[in-house]
Amino acid sequence: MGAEQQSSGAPELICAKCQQWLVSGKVTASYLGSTFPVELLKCPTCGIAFVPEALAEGKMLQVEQALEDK
Amino acid sequence: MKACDYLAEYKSYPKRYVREIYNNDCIVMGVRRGNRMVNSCSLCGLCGTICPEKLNMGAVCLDARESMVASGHMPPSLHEFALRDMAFSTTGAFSMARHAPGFEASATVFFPGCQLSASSPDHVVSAYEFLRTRLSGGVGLMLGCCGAPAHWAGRKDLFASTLGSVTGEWERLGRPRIVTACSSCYRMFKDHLPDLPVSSLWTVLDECGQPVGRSSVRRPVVAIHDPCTTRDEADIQQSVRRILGRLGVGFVELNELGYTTCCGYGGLMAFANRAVADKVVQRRVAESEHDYVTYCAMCRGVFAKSGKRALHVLDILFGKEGEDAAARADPGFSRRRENRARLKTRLLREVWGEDMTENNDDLDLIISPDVSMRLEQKLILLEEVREVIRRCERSGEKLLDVRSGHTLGCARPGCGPGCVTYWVEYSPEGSRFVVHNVYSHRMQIG
Repeated sequence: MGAEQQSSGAPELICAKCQQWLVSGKVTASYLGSTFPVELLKCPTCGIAFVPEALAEGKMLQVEQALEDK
Repeated sequence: MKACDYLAEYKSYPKRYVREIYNNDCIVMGVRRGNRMVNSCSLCGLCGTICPEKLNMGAVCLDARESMVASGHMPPSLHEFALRDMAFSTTGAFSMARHAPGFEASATVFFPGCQLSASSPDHVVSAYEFLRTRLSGGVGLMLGCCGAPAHWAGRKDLFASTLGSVTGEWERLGRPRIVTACSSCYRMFKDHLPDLPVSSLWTVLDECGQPVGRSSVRRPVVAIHDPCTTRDEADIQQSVRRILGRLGVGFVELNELGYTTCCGYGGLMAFANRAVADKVVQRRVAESEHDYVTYCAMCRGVFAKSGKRALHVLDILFGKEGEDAAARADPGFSRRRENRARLKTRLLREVWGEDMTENNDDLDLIISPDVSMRLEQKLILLEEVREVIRRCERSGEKLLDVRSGHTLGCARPGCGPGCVTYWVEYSPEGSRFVVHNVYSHRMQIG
């Protein structure tokens, strides 16, 4: 899938290396020995994933702090 | 309780806090809900001074922090930034110990401390020059960290190794008297290295004669904020007052000398609980309309960040003629680190005559005041922003936002449980890079 094939509602991020639109997919998030499956936008070719600011400073931060207090 | 915003924050009383802290430390499986509370105390000990039973919550919290570190339960995010800053100060980028030029021995060594060097490097140069003219027997210089952040973070191992390095350098210089400009350094050495003869810069200047002073005091009267670490050091407090008196600076007291309060930086409280630290500083700066004068670089920096006009005593002694030093902005975390490295280079060049070339191959960044403020709030250094951009541009591993035309990239420098992933949204502009946004997380994505 090339960058020119973006359709309405599709992600607006392109992997610069692979020239692919990022698509939603499963990745693994881990911290202090705990691992979780997370749905993020990622490059279908190289797998580089995007963590939005709202997630990093919202839910992800909450989980990090909860894990630190375990 | 009324004297401390930290104690008031948890809406109970010390006897109960001690029980909660003990229970928190005993949890084997489950959530340690008291972690943040343990790490939000400034460790200043004012409660122990006021309390009829002399119960010092600072000592209780420090003991609990050391226990948390020992059992592997200290949350990495609470102190990691401050400890990395301390680590920088102990590397060759800043740290050094030397006899004065032309001397092969030192009767005295000046220890300006990492935060004064970071916020007022010019004053360090001036004070060192002044001490060399006034004190006999050679005045060496020791740049480095006293280990206070490690002590406050409960890192006994790191604190001991830092003090060990200081002791090693002190012995190499021939065991001279150490003169500290920072009262936290003074406290650390006095309390933990009893063999080191330590004096405060303020008592030394009081005894050996001070500079004439410049006219950087804009208002007729200032209010004195004594750093909390001088609470039991009446001689230092009185020396500062005599120095100000000789300069003709009118001053008022904020509190009785034995009841000094924290500015909001002590015990690394601002890193663990910014809301409580903000309350502490807001309470302190609201106590007087006058400009504040203090003799701790971090107290002065914290007040400046809060918008309070504040002077360091060295601003009055060595400030630039005509400068409104009380209005000087806090340099911020990135500039503090940069200032330390530049100070060392400058001293080696100007005092010891070494041929020093500064490293100017850094990426040139364009950063708006808004992004600059976000960097400071999120504890992200320019060095980390540069590292992300450098890695993304070199590897090509980056994302393009077709909507804004910006590049998004991340990097996770370092390793270990405390390491952080930094995201930077940027765009090239000629040979420079405009930074549009920054954020971070600790979870590793893979």
